[in-house]
Amino acid sequence: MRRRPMVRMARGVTRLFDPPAGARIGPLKEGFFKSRLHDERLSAQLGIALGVTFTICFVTGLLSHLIQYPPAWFTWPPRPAGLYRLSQGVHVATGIASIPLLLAKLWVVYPHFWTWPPVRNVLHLIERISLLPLVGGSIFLLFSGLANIGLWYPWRFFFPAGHYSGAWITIGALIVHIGAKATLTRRVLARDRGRSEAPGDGLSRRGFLGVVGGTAGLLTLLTVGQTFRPLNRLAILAPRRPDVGPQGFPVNKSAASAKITDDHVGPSYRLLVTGAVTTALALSLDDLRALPQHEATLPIACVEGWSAEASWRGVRVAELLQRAGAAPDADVTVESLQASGLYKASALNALQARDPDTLLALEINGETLHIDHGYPVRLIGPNRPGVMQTKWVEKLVVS
Amino acid sequence: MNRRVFIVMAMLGWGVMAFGVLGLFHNSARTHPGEWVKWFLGGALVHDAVLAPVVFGVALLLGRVPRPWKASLQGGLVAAAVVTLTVYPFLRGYGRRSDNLSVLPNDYSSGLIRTLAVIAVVTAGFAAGAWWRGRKSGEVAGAAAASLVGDRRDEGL
Repeated sequence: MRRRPMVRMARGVTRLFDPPAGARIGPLKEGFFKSRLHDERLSAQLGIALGVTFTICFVTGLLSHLIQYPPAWFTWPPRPAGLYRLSQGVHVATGIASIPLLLAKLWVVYPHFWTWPPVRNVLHLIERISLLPLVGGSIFLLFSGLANIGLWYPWRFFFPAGHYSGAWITIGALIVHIGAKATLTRRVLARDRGRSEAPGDGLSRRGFLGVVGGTAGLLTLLTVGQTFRPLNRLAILAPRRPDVGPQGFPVNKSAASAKITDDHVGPSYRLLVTGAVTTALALSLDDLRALPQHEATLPIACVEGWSAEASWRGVRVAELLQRAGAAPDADVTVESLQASGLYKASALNALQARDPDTLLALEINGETLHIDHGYPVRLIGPNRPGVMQTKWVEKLVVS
Repeated sequence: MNRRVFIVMAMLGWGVMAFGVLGLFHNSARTHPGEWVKWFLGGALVHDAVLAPVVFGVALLLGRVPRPWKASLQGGLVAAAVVTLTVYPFLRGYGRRSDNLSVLPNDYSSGLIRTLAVIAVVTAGFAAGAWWRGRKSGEVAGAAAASLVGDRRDEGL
């Protein structure tokens, strides 16, 4: 009695693998898709390109996540100063260049969506089910990333958290897909080397690859100037320009959106150095100006992939820690006057806090900071994401 | 498919996916899984149900374009469509805000028009090249080639 449902299920599965021929209509028919671009070799080439770009995005994205939420085993050094700028610039530029690659790949393999029979066996079923997170996830990652660099949030989840979970799921699905296609890809690329084009009067395989590569190159050329200075003038389609903003410098969060008012930054302002110190400090803006000033030329390198460099002038964090009597290996939390928000505080590990270029800056390019840049005092340090260059600094908490 | 390779990679891949799903629910205060899944799967749905049929419709129409122009036109349209799609959120200024003028500072309609103009010029160059090569090789050679391949016209799909 108890075996009956199992038997019925097994019959159902068998029927799934051997559907009636009459059901094969429309795009399910052999030869429905006629373009010579639905081609195994082209699919393999685009697949390899996407495998490379998605791996680059995953590794650089994971790095950015580790820097912002460091586990105990991970210490991000302050040097080389421009490394985060490079890795995050690569993350965003590679993501943008992946848009034409992904759309091209989906076009080339689209007939497989209508493959017959829809499932051949259990492994084929697993392979096909894994395509949903692969295709959905790839589109999700590129779309949400593109929206984020333009500060557009049409969804209710917190972008970094949603993008991060999406990345793991998509990479997992990509691993399954590579497992399914590795043998075929190698065979197709070896077999078809130097093969001549299939007949037809439309775009050839090489022509299509040229168009896709050219479009990826064009998009890169017209956006990468938001972080790569020599191409700054070409960045007509970039969501940012390194020279546009208050004092000729871009801003991600304005004072108004952080609810910072003149009351916060008036004469009553004090910078506090507290926590595990021998002498707690409370310094007015004049006290800070009276301390030895240092200058550092450092970029703000945003997670959104833009970066801009400025000359900053202010007090070394290391100097303040020394005056307060903090231990030489102490970590520091930098807190903002900002009342709320996930980025109202940031962590400086011991290496970052002691770097001579890690400053509480009072000036940018020789001018007093604009309130949107964090007046009266902002943190600026080498090799850090822009969201961790805390503005409107109120407190250094030593731990 | 190499069965053994696939089984190992499928187990690994599903493990990585499970890690992602666990993180999604573990961090649900920020990820809002119910909302998130709509966007995660919505992209595939929009692609398969809207974008792909539109592209196939345009491809069918292009099937009627005469031979020397066809490939160039297809390439030009692909490039133009992908660039427009990519720039669209900036063009619409979805992320613009009154308190921060450094966000989306460019004139994206002018930028897009200039980019499309460049694509149009390159497309015209390729089309002219194809037409010139066709003339040089002559109608006879073209007809011979056509008969060799059975005059298989690319339907565009």
